Amino acid sequence: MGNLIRNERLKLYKKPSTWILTGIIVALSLVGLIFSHLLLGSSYEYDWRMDYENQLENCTMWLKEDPGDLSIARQVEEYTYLLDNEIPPSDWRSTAVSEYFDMKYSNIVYDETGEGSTVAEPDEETGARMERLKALIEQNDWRGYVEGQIADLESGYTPSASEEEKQVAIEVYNLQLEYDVPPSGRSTSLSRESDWRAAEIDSIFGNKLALVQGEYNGALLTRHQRAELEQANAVSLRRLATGTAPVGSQSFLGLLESTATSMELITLLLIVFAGGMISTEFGTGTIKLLLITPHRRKKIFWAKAAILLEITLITVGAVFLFAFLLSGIFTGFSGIGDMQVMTLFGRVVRFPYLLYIVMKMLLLLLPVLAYGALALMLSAVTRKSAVAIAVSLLLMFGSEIIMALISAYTMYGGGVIPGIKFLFFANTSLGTYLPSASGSISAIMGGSVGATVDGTMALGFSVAVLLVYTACFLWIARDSFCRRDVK
Amino acid sequence: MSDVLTLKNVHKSFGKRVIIPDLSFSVKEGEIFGFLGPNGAGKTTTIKMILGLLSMDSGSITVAGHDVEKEFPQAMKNVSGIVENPDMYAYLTGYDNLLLQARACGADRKRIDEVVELVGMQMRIREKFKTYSLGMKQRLGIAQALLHSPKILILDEPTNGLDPAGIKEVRDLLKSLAHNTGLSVFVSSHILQEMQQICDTVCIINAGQILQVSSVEELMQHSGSGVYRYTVRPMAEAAEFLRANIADRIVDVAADHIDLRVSEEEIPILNRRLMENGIAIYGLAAVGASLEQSFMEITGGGNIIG
Repeated sequence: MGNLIRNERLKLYKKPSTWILTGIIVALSLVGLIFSHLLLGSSYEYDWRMDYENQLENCTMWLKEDPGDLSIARQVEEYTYLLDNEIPPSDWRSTAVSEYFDMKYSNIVYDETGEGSTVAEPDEETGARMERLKALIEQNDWRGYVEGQIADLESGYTPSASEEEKQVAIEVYNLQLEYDVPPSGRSTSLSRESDWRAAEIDSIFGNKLALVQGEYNGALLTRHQRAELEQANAVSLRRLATGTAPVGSQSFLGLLESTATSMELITLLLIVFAGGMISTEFGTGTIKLLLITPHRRKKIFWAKAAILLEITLITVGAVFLFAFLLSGIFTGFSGIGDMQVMTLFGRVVRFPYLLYIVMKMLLLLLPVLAYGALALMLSAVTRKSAVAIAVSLLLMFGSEIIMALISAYTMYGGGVIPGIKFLFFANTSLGTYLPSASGSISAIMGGSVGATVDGTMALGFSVAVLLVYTACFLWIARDSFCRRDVK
Repeated sequence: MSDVLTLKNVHKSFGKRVIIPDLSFSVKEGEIFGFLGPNGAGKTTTIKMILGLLSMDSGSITVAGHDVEKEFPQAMKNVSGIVENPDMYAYLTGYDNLLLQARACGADRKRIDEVVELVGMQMRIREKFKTYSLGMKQRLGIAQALLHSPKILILDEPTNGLDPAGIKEVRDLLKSLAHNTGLSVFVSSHILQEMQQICDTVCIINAGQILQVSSVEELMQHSGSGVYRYTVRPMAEAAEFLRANIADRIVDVAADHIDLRVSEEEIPILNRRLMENGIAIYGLAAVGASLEQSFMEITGGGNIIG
């Protein structure tokens, strides 16, 4: 057996095309990393002042055309205030300011003709609230603001759809007080300095609200989705409690992860090698040489399978190594030992993210190897490299489209197609179950093909299905290789 | 001498088409065994079954006492061969190709050097296989087949596509191997003359059935008369004269020559008769006994081909 493996190694590694192809695949993987660093990581800074000034200019212009439009007048006043007091949109005060002007413009009096209208003095209670709010904004007292919000909810001044929703809102405000996190402003996504903790609390609020309402975006929650939402909240809470910031997509670990865990190119490479592994021997006539040796055919088959595994591991290792060095050069290896909180196999855990990346790579190798087994099977059955490679690639890319169509059908009311979750292609996107630095998975939307064709699917299930398919592919390939005549 | 290779009631069909109805024969130790038949006679199919590339439907094949199907590894330790073409990995050197085979069958590097020397390829063994001529590929093929010192070597039309020098090389190599090392050689061909020159025993096969197994001497006696090509003028008179007198000896009448089957003793008599009748002989050449004609004789002229 050892000698047979050494033979397959010699045959594969002394073929120039092996290294040309592997080199191209590794290089292409790194091109992605370089582009991601140069384009997304460029020091683009959102200039909120300019944004305010543009808005103000537009509103002033519209107000000149129609001086009676109070909503425009309100915006002019609001932007002027935000600019004068230097309140960026990520600041909690930006929301409070908006609230202040809501109250200020709440009492609109129409004249007799019904055409013109003026802003009247608010009533006494509102006036007092406005004074309080203004004071809180001026003192930048977000605790006071949050406490006021809680009081308004409890007193019923702020209406709630239900008692549960009210409790959720109060809980979340209390979280902000507990972890000393000011609420997020009117816009969090555009600003770099926005607090990750505020984003986590916002996410907890959204998830809890969905759980209470029992639906999300108009669709009823399944039991499985409820569990995912609860897990997401557990992760967020653990992050707040341990002070574990999410890994940034442009950090050392983020860059390393996005490159080292994208397996499409590796799958492509393995399909090309596996698809040609057996059929090339038939094409060149060397199969006769190979089989007229004092070995059972199954040994020869497993030697070939072993060498395919080896070249895959070498390529993955090379991609990881180069991605590690390149990310390190770009970011100075900062944050290499960062911890991360995430859900794995249903449990909330906290451990070094670098270790997680390596584990994720190994797990994501499973679908790659499954595709390799598929190509090897086609290679053994058809005995034609071109057919084996072309069909495997077609299935790989075609299945993505078919799965996207099926999940769209399921999402827009078609319901879950029975048995669809046992399909090979419904389980090949393991990445959808695994959190990543660049966009941690949203519990419901996920963008996941596998998760949306059937909401009950989980990582363990897909791994099991893939293992069964891989074993079947290998069995058919081995059987075809060992039994059939060599004509 | 014991039998190295034995086929017993071997039957093989591809779908409904029966390739080998019932084949039995054996090859003795140290013997060069010729397996003679036209294209499509089932020679390559038989060879592939001996080497385990094809399964047989019924019957058994044993190599040095080991059943090819039941004890495949043991059987293969005693046999090796080249099927159809000497196909090897074109992008590897001759040496690497031998190394692959040596590892697969458990031969060491010393043995590689030995077989390279045996086929006289020391000078070019480090060059890539694709740069070799067909003759060199054939020699390298024989070298790799000899690596694990088999008891019997199976060669499928080894001289196919070789030039006369290459044919002589292969022939001499096989003879010296059989006579110096006691190796049995099973060689298939569709050319009778080739068989006559190297084989001890010739087995003639057609449509998967053995027509005759005989020593080369016996075969030579059978094909005592040969075909000769007469280039004569005038053609019309010559054809008329021959048809009137020895019509059964005419093989073919072409535009400028006539092929006749005559024995050597008859040639001077025939020549004199032709000249007496005013027919001039411009050329006379032996065409050689083709396989087809030998078949005709062996089977008494019955229609067995096609």
